[in-house]
Amino acid sequence: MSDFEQDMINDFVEEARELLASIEDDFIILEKQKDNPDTELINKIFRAVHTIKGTSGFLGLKNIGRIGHIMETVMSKIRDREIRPESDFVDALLAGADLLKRMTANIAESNDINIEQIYDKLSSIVNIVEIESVLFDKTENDVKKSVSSSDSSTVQLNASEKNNTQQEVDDKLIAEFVLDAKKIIDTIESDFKILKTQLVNPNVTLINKIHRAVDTFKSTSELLNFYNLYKTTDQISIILLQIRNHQIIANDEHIDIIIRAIDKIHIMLDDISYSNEMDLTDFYNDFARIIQSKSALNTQVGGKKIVVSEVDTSKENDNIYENLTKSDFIPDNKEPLLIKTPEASNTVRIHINVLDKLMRLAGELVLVRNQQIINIHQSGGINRGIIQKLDKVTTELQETIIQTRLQPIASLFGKFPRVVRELNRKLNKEIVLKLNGSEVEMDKTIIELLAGPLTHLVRNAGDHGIEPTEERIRLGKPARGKIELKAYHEGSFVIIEIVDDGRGINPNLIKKSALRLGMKTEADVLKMNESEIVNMILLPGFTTALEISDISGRGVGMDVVKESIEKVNGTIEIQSQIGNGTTVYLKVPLTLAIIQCLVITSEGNYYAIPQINVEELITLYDNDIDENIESTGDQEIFMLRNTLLPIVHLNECLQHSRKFTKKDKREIIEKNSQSNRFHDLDYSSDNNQYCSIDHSSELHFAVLKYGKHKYGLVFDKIIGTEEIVVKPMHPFVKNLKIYSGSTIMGNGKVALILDVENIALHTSIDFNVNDAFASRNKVNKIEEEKESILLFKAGDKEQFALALPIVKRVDQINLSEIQKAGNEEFYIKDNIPIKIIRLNTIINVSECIESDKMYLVLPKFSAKPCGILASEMCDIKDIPVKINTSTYVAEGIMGTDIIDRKLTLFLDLYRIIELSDPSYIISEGKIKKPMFPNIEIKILLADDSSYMRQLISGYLVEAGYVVVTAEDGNVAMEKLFEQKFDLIVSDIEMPNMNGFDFITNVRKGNIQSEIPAIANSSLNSPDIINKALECGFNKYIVKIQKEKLLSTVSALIEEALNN
Amino acid sequence: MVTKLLLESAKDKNLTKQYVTFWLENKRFGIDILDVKEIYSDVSVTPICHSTEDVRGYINIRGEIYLVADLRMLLGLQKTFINVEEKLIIFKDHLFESFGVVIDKIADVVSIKDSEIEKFSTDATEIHEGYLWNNQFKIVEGIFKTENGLILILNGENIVQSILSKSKHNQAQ
Repeated sequence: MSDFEQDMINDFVEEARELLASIEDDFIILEKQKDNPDTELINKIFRAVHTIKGTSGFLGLKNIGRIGHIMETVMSKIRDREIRPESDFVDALLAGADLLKRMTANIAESNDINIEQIYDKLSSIVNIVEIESVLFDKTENDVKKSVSSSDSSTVQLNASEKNNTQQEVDDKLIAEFVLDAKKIIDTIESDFKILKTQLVNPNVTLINKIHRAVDTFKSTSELLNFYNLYKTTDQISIILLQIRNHQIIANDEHIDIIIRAIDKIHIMLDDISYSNEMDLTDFYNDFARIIQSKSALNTQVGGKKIVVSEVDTSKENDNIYENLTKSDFIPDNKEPLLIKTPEASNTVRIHINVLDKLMRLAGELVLVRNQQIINIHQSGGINRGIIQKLDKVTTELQETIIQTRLQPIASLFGKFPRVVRELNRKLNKEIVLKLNGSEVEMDKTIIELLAGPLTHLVRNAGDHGIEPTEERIRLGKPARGKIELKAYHEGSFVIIEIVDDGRGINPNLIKKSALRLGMKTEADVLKMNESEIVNMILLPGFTTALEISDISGRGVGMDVVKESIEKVNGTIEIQSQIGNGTTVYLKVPLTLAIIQCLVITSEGNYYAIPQINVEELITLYDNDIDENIESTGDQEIFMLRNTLLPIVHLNECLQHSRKFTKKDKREIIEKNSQSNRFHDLDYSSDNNQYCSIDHSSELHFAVLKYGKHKYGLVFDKIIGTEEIVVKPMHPFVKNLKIYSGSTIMGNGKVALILDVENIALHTSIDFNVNDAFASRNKVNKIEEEKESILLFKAGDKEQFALALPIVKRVDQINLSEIQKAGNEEFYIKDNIPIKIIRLNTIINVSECIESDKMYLVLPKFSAKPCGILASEMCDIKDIPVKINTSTYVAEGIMGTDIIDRKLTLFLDLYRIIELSDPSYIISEGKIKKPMFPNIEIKILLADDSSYMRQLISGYLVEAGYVVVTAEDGNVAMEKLFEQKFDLIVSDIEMPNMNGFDFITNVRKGNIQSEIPAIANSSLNSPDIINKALECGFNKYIVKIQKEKLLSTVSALIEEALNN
Repeated sequence: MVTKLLLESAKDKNLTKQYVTFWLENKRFGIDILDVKEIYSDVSVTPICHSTEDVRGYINIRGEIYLVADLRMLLGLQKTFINVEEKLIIFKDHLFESFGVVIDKIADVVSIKDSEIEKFSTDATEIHEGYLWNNQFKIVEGIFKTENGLILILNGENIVQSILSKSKHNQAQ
């Protein structure tokens, strides 16, 4: 299709849409004045339909043409008073208009749309009329007329059929004539419109012009034997001559009949071969009457007379449908039409690009102005007055340009009379619609987007809000329900209220439904106030279907409404009073071209995030950064009020131009966690290469949402919020999905607008996996991951920690009771000497502060009693522990963690005891390490406690084994599938899959089912031990007996190797 | 209209065309003055991460956002780091909307007869006398010899084509 044709079609669609929108109301008005329809109104509709028909025929849009044609026929019948605009007919016409709308909206497929049903409906009206008129005529015994009338009905039908098939007329001459004739008739029509404005004193030149055109037409049609055409044009020509010669003073009736004649000509031209078969007798009679009555016109009010005579005929038609009394008819009602000047066109169609350019230039002008203002300040205020003027004019200019994009909301409100009318008919209710603030203007795109949600809300109000008439009367309310639509400005927003005076929303029902649907708990609901409860109907999936109606409950689809309102950056709120009605408030911005954005920086460049996607901003300081951001292997997460929020770094996202793979994500986390860790001990300055994110002070991230997903986006700095003008991406970079557009900031720099959804996709945030992790992790977090930690101090500097399960007890002692024996110190309790270990003698820590009250920490499982001397017991805490092993590694220290913002050293108790005196460790045959120097022995360690994992794997690694850890049986199983192991050490009590199930599964399975396994648990009851052995563990060792564990491990491995 | 006429008459071999000349890595290049909208001296662009390396970024010129490409990269030359003499050549819309390239240093406008340009249509990497670059997209369409050295004549359309095809390739990844 050529550009030209496409342009033509686009113009047509635009025009058709405007025409259809403008006539929709007219149909409804028409219906109301069914007894006495306004001719001007009918003509308006007729012309609109006619224009659509004509153009669509030219563009080969057959279906639109057909519907247009049949609607035109119906309208012409109404105009000719052959039928009255009964509701049924108006229904059919509205259906036709809807169909036209649908087809014009989807012009390319309009020819494939099934139009038969509506077409039939419309043509049946035409048929009814024909048949009625036959009947009517028969009663009059006018046989000749009846015959011709039925003839014309077949012609009509044939004509409409032929409209499809008779497109190609072979006779070139006729085709040419028709083409010419159409052009001529169009000119005549438009000239006539001008003439109509100067009825009193017609312009002779114009009349001559029309007359000449009509004459040409007349003679050609005579030549081609189109008798009807000839006669019609002849009649027009006569009237024109009379007007020119001042034989008659032209009035509306003349104009009316000429317009009718022109329309008839149109119809004939559309179906030229049938034109001669059309029955135009009535029409000619009318003509004759007008022409004859010319003599009377100068003295009488001819217009009125003719009206009355017309009324007479149509009245009898009416009688066929309804037994109307004559008094129903008030001919005076229809005054001779005022001579209206055609609406002077005070609007211009402008392409949106021109407006955009104007807008852009105005924006630039603002920048220039700003620079100039700075300049003025520097130069000491010369020409200040001029600049102030420039300032004012610029601002005004910008505002005006923004206005050009705005449209009155009337175009949206205009469709609601019809919606309400349909509701009334369907629901048998009496609802009055009140519109308020139709003049309020807003962006065209927003108006278009609001149509759906608003219709839904109005339907809801009518359907569920307004009570049936009887009920209203019973309740003492006015019988007619009322729905009011109000629009007004509020700042840069427009508020639209949908108010009904119906039954309101019952919060109790909403509450019940919410509970029934499991959306809220009893406790949640108790905390909510009434308005919060009512607004719950906006939640996705909410319905009160059970309570309110069988078909649809109030609230069905309200989430969709909410969604579409939010799409245009708007908000929705509901207020309701039982018995008094409901009000829905929509708050929508004036325009979409300007959006509110959060402006941030990353690597020194500005980026904008649409405010609508931003939930909240979070800044973490110092330790919080490491404590609150965790990782799950390949996804960083932040604990946000009991939900897990995946975190991505904008810097990383921008640096990796390809979609993140799992490996990428792991590397990034590695990188970040390293820089985090260095930060712990202020090493960051030495490791600049890892410090792309400055951890030394703060970490900013925005909680972003799209759809139902949320994630955190880490960036460098917040600049603030700004209203920005969105511009699309340049075609060269349009493929970069992470940007949704670009914009110019106040400082003249270009900033990119980030696409929140595509950033999530690019960085491969897997929200599902995260959910799974969330459920698993939650259990771990609350029940298993927490460790009981004993915190104490010895010297004044360090805080130490020991896992409570390995502590036997803590004794309070008096320093004076300590007895010395050589280099060693002892404390006697119950006649048992307990060896005192001073930490500063073993590891490099500050010296123990001595006071009267000292403490002795006694470990479990030492061969001889011993205790660590402590100066202060700080706390016992149940907290999740993440021991950082690489930060501070020394003999006797497992690692560090930050507890209560203090760096805490986790002691390797047994190592310390061993260091102080090896004999204090239970040793059944010293372990020579490494046991198996030539082979790599791989051990799978399953334990839910990270502390224990750390501790035990530490022992095993120290003894020369390779250790892979798993936090529960499930994970251990996965690991077992992935790699080969030589031995399993497993805890019994674990979440998800405990040790019993784990080993049972291993033994039953076919992968490494023979692997030796050791149960290692703090549970120490014969039942448990027996059960563990029954399930398939080879050995059971009570936690924590380092030497026994190691010797068992080596024994089992040796055994396995020998086999 | 005038432009169109000029363009058409420019096909005439003996017609003299004016070329905007400029320097890139010590070589002089020229581009048809009718393709050039303006020379802009501010090259401080906003980088667009994830774009191909030929794309420098966005710049705001009088309220319109232009995409700026790096002509060095398009020709397969080395990237420069800091060069205060860099200028932006903004192309006219008939070549491509809102588009310009960065060059090292601007030089004179030179009038050259069409017949004096030694045309070549090689897509070889090596073009002339050891001038090494990637001419895959036939960005360099001819050479003009002056007393002071060579001027390599560039084809504006092919500059656009090269970016378009590279950006498509980028998408395919």
